[in-house]
Parts: sequence; C-alpha cells; structure tokens
Amino acid sequence: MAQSHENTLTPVQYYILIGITIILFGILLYRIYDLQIRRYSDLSSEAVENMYRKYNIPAPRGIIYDRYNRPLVYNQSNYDLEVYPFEIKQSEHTWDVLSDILDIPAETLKKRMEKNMNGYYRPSKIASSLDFRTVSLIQEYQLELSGVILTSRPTRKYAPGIRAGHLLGYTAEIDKNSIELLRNQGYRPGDYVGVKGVEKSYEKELKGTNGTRYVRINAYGMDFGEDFSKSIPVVPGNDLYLTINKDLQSYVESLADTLPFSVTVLDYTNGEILAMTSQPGFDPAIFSGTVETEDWLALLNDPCKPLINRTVQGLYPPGSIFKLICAVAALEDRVISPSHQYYCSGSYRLGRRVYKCWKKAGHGTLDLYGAIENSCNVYFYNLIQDVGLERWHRYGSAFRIGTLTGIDIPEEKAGILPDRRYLDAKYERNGWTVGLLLNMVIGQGDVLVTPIDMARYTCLLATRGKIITPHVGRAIYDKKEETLRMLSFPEDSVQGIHPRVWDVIHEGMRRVVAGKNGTAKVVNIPHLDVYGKTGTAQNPHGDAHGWFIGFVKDKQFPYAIVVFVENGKSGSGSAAPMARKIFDYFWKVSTF
Amino acid sequence: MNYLQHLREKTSDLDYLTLAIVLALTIIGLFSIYSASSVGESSHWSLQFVVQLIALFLGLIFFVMMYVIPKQFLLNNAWFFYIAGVLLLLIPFFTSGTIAETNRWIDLKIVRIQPSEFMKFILILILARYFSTTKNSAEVFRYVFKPLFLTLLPFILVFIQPDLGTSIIYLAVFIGMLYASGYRVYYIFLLIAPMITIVAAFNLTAFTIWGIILGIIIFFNQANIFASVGIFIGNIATGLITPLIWNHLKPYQQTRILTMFNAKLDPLGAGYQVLQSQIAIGSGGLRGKGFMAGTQTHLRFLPEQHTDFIFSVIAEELGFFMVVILFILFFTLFTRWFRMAYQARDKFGAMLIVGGTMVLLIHFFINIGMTVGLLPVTGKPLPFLSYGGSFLVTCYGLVGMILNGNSEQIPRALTYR
Repeated sequence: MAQSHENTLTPVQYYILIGITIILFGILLYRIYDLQIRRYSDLSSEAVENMYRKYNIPAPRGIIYDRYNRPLVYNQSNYDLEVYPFEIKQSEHTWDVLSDILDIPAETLKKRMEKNMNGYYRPSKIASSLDFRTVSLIQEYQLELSGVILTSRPTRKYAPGIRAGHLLGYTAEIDKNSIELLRNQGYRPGDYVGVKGVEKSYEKELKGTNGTRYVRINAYGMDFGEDFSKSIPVVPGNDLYLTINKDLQSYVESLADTLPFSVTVLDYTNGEILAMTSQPGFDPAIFSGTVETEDWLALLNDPCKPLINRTVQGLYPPGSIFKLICAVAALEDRVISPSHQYYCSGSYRLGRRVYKCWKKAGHGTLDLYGAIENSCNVYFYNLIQDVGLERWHRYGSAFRIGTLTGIDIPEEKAGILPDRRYLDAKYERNGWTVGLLLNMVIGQGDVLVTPIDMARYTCLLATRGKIITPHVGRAIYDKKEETLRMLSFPEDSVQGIHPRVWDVIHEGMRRVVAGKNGTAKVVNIPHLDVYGKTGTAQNPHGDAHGWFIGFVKDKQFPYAIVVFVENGKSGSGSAAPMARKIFDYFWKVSTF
Repeated sequence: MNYLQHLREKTSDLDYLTLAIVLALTIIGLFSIYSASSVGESSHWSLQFVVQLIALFLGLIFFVMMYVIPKQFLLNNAWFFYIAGVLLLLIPFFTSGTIAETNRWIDLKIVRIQPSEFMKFILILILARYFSTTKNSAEVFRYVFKPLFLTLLPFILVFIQPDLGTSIIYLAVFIGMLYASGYRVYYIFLLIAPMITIVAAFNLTAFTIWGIILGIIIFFNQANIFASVGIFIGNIATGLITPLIWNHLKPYQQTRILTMFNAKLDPLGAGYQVLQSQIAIGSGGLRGKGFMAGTQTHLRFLPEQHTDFIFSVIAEELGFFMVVILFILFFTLFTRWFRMAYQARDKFGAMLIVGGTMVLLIHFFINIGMTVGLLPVTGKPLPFLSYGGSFLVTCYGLVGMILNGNSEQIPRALTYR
C-alpha cells in the first residue's frame, strides 16, 4: 500500500486543486448572490415588465356642447403607425409591404424606427396622422404586417362656423417641464392638456382617466390575451354643456369690424353667457394635431394681439358707463335728489385746470336724468365733489368693481378701483388733487376694468343689485356616475339700496336709448324695452375706446350686452351700433 | 481473470455517496426539464422528460460499463482508442455536405454521434497512460512535448469544427492532468502565457500590466538568462503581431472568430439571452417563484431553457436556497473526487480521476458562468441537469471512469515497477 502512494498526488497538489475548485465556486456563488439577493427587486420587476406588453390608451376628452346640446368640440380618431423593432426586424417582407402602402422607401421607415426607438420591445412610431385610405390598407394587410400596429389617438375637432379660440381654448401635448408636476394626477407623457378657455378651466372634468391594457405575451411577442386583473379601463372625459348659443356666438364673432372688439351677451338673472368673443381671435382648430410654425408665428406677431382674450384680460378705462356708480351713491346717500340741477357750459374749472365736457357748446342746465341721457361730464364733476372719494369708492367696491368675477374662463385679470390708499401710494400723500377724482368719476384716469367686469356691473344694474358670476359652464355629464351634474356659481347682492334709486337709474338708462338726446338712440328698437349707457374712454395711446352696456327688460330673454371697441373713437359711434346689430339678430332668429 | 470475483470487488469498492449525489442531481434536472419543457402544453409527460428518463437509463448502463471495465484493459488499449478517436473526429469533415454546416456530427441515420464526446474519454485515457507510465522526468520542460502533441491534435480538429467550448475543455483536462502529474507550475505558466498575451494584446493597458507580470515571474523562476530573455521577447512579439494579424483578417473572418467565442450569437440583439437568463435568476430571489411557476421560463423568455439554461430555470423557480443546495452537491462531488485522486493507489487511476473531474468541473463553471453573464455563451450544458441524452450518458460514463480510477485493482504495468 505504502509504495503506491508515492505515485499519487502530493498534498500541495491536492490542496491547490481543492483551492481552485473553491475559487471557481466562490466566483459563481457570489455572482448568483448578487443577482438573487442584492438585485432581486430590480430584476423581479424586470421579469414582470417582460410578461406584459403595455398599451397606453388615452382617454377621449369630454365633448363640449352648446346651450341647445349641439356639439362645439368633439373627438376624431387620428391614426399613428408604430412598429415593434424586435418583431419587425426579422422580416424584410414586412418592410416592403409597409413601404408600398405608405409610399415611403423602406430605408426611410427603418431610419424613423431607429430614431424613435426607446427599447427593443417597445413600439416605435414611424408615421402619424394617417389618412383613411392608408388606415384601411394597413388593416387589410394586417396579417402580413406582424409587429406593426395602428394606434388611434383621439384629436379635437371643432364644429364649423365658430372660431371661439378664447372661449373654448385648445389642447396641446404636455411639455416635458410640466409632466413631472402632472404625473401624479394621472398624466403621462404624450397626453394632451387643455390650454386656454374651457378646455383649461374644465380640464379635470374633460380629461378622463387614461387606461392601460396589459397583454400577456411570451418572448416571441405572442399575444396570450389581456390580463383584465391588471388592466386599467379607460374612463372617457366628462361632457361639458355650455350656456353658449352656437348661432349667436357665430354671429358675434362675425360682426365685421376692422377694429379689435369684445362682445359679451349674458343672462343678467343668472350670469349665463350666451356669447362672448374677443376679436381678433383665433381658430382653435389650428392647434389640433401639429401646429404649423407659420400659423403660430402669425398669431404671435400680429399687432392686434389675437392671443389676448380682451374680454377677461383686457384692462381699459370704462368711460361714461362708470358715471352710474356716482349717481347711485349720490341718490342712496341723499346727497342730491334726481331733480337736482347743475349747469354745463361745456367745461368746468377746478383751480387752475379746466375739465371739459364732451359737448363743447355745453348741455345747459340738466337734472340727473338729463345728465345720464346726455352723458354730461360737467354734471358729474360737480356731483362727485359733493359725493366724495370715500363714498364713491364704497359703492364701487360694493358693486365689486376691480375684483375678479370668477368667470370659468382662465387667466382673468382684475381691474383697479382706486381708493385713497391706492392714490396715496401712487402719487404720494398730498401728491394728488380732487382733479383725479373728476377724471375717475367719468371712468377715466386711474380706473381700469375688464369687459367681463362691466358685464357683471350691467347685470347688477339690470337686476337692481344682484351680483352674479358670469359663466359659460352649465352642466357636466359625469361618465362614471352616469349623472348630469348642474354647475352652480356663487351669487350675491348689494343690500340696502332703495328701489327708488334703481328706478332713477333705469329711467336714466332708458332715456339713453329712447330719449331725444340719448347717446344710444341707435339701439332704440320698437316694442323692445332696451336700457343702455355708452362710454367713450380717452386713450393716451391713440383713438378713444368705445363702450356700450345695455339690457333688455324681457321675461323670456333677460339679456345684457356689453360691447367694447378698441379705438372705436366713441361709444355711441362704434359700440352702440354693434349692439344694435346684436339686438336685431335676437329677434330675428327663431331659436330664441 | 475471474470475472465474478472482479465484479464482487468492484461492487464492494463502489462509492455510494457519489452515486447518490449524481442521481439526486439527475432527478432535480428531470423535474426542471419537466417544468421547462411543459410550457403551454397540457400533456403531463413532456417528450423531453421521457427522453431524459431513457437517457438516464442508458447513462447508468454506460456508468456500469465504464466502472467495471478493468483499468488494465484501458491502459493496454489506450493507443488504439486514441487513433480510433482521431479518425472519428476526421470523418465529419468528409461526410457533412455543405460548408456552412459545422463538422460535429456523424449521422448514423438513427442516432447522430458526436465524436468529440468520445474524445473526452480517450484524451483522459491517453494522457493518464502517458503520465503514469512515462520514464521522463516531470522536472524538465520537454516532459510536456508528447502529451501536448497528443492534446493539440484533437484540440485543433475540434477547434476548426468549430467547437470552441469543447476544445477549451480538452485544454483544461490537459492542464489539470499535467499539473496533477507533478509538472512544474512555472512550466504550465509558460504554456498558458502566449494565450494570455494574445488576449491582452488588444488593450494597451492590459498588455503593459501583463508584460510586467510576465517579466517578474520569469525573472524569479528561470535560471538561464538567455532562456528568460528569449521567452519574454517571444511573448511580447506574439502580442505585438496579434493586432496586426487581426486587422489583416477580412471582416467575415473576424466575425467568424468572434462567433466562436459567442457560439449562439443573439438573433435579437446584444446579450438578449444572457439578459433574460439574469432576469430569470435574479427574479427567483431567495425562495424562488415555485416549481412550475417561473414566469421567465413559462413564457419562454429563457432561451434554450431546458438545455443550456436549465440552471436559470432552477434558480428562478426554486430560488437561492436551491442554488446553494446544488452548489453543495457539486462541491461535494468535485472535492471528493480530487480526494480520491489524492489517495488513489495507482497513478493511472489518479490521472483518470483528475481528467474526469476536470471535464465535469469545467462544464459546471462554463455553463453557470454563462447563465449568470460572466462568460460568453459557448453552449456547454450543465452536467447531470441539462436536457440532452448524449451528454447525460457522457457524464455518467465519466463518473464511472472516475470511480473506476478509484477502485482497488491496480494495473499490472504499474505494480511490477
């Protein structure tokens, strides 16, 4: 036995062989430990990812209807073509068929795939917004096109006849910066989000919930059917019913005018807006799909600034339509009676400055009715000095002038109703004189308002103190609950103003329309009880702006109208005639 | 020779622990193959499972054959086997029709024979004979010339088939047995050095570091200064020429060589198989997803799941616990066999054991190294566990040979020495 041992291994050789075995085992075991224990969570989620092909199904946005349930904005499918790189790479034939159908060289398509690829097993877009013919051809040849999928993306379509970009807004793909903020609200890259108008203000309702289809697949991409336990169903966006009357909206948009203007027609009893426009505007349709650079630049560079919604964002001096605040303050606080008279010589001297009336010859002796009818400045120059800044401001702020109306159109701006503190801050204490007050009482100088603010003011005058919230949303059809939800907006009222005061104001406004010297005689329509007030706001940058506010006393159609014409020179010459057209249209169209 | 007595002796020698572990591994393999192959099929007995079961039966027969065959017989006929083996390796080059086809198989219509499998046994045999009977001293360098030639002949024939994996196994067997025969480690280093030089030549940093290491090792081991300088310069020159030769190759030739290192070049893109395998293993975690519940396996994300990637299936479904158990089983086998070699009564037997163990150890390392993404995909199966009838039979034969090497019967050629 002993002799044979000299022929076998030495202990060193034995231990080296064992050592090598230990090293080899150690390397492998450490690596497996690394994979199975340390990288377990990463790799098991990768394994789950592997099992499913995820299809993101964008929720179709809610449809937007008008007052009479006519669709204003709806969806239309837009088809994109995507390919799965790992599947399509194996077949040259598929490329040839695709190339024939799309009439694009296969090489170009391959390059597009490479460019848009973000993973071998993820779809890569090679064509978008396919026409109907192409879509049907692809569906026809689907069997020969393995690894090719058509994905439909709902895009916004707009009813013909209206171009209400400011009112309706538009949708755009979420940009990379906002996606991080919106991700936890269920947004995904590539989703569309409302920009401007009701698309933005009702975004939460219109959006809906994106769905995800989880389809079990194997390594060959073979479809084993949907895993319903994992899939998230699509919930389409809720439908939005507006207070807008499509015909009227279309009409006010078409009121041909070379000057920029804003029109709001609303129900003064509840604030429902029937039509509102800011012209020049834009057609939201140009934003659906890919925006053409030229269109966008044209909008951006237009000197008339069509992207600004004048109705809710434009700040202008209100001019004479503002005088009524002083009149209400004077009457309610018994500073004067309506029959109180002042003399207008055409100008008014205060200290060393002369303040002019719009009529150079002067209006002579006028009572309050006459002052409103003629829109006499001098009468109010006198009156405001008796009323005073404090009282004037108290009534103005009771009327909510200079505050946001809360309209359901985004990006509303608040106007300015100056008080003593404001003037002190602006001109320094004792740095300003009563002269400023004379300007403000006739709606000039430091007073700034938006047309929508004036719409609320007009409603307040018409309803004798009711403060409504102008709005365009009427109801929401909830797709999940399958119920119609009526929208409500806050209402308030100015208390404590004597009915007699309103009688006087209404009488004055009636005379503006029906009186011999009324500044808005152009809207005097037989058998129609129209009340109004014009305004001409001096503009240091150019021609004066024209205003008209008015309402109709009518049980069936309790509507108020606010017209603003930028650089219209005068209210009676520009805004009132435009209002007249709208009044005419009222009684012509049968749907009213 | 009294065969009955011979058999009785053999039976009393049999290492039952080895047999038990090997059978346990095979059964684990059978279950895994069952899981891996019953994908989307409703039948309870998958074809692969049945085939593997038959292979186990044949393997056991081959095991018995390799075990009971007298060492004396193997020793006496080693040269005959060697010549026959080399001839068999040559046959596919003449028979296989197209050039594109690899020259691995001899088609006997019923079964296809892979001569390179037989060659594993034969190489061990001829080397064991040489190392145990040679009068040459292992202390001199030229001791290696004859066994090197004996190895290089089948090595080259298999390498150009092309089957890189198997040819590497031949080399590993050769080097393992060479070391166990008592050859100087420094000489073995000198044999391996040119190969490392060639690989390192593609990276300047690696080549520089390698040059320094090479210089230091030669300086401390080589007495003869001329030989030292000669070996060093020879290596460096090889390294410098390598990139030149490589760049002179045509792209398709380069691809062909690269393909040898990555035999199953991924049709889907870089590293797909290995990536999927790593995901499978990693997602198994500590406890695994449960038998028959591996998602990677059952949705066929694993490539070659019942053959080369069977380990991934086990790791995915049975987790790290099972991996550790497998490693303990294999480790026990390999160390036990090396111990047998250490304690063997005759050098021929010891050499048979070392050779057989090297084949299985390298298979184990290459296969698992591949599935965990450490080594290129060479397509070598995992001993006892992978599906593949002929490989399972080979493995059982090797075990038979190892245990035979360990048996008490000492060949005469050695005893009367």
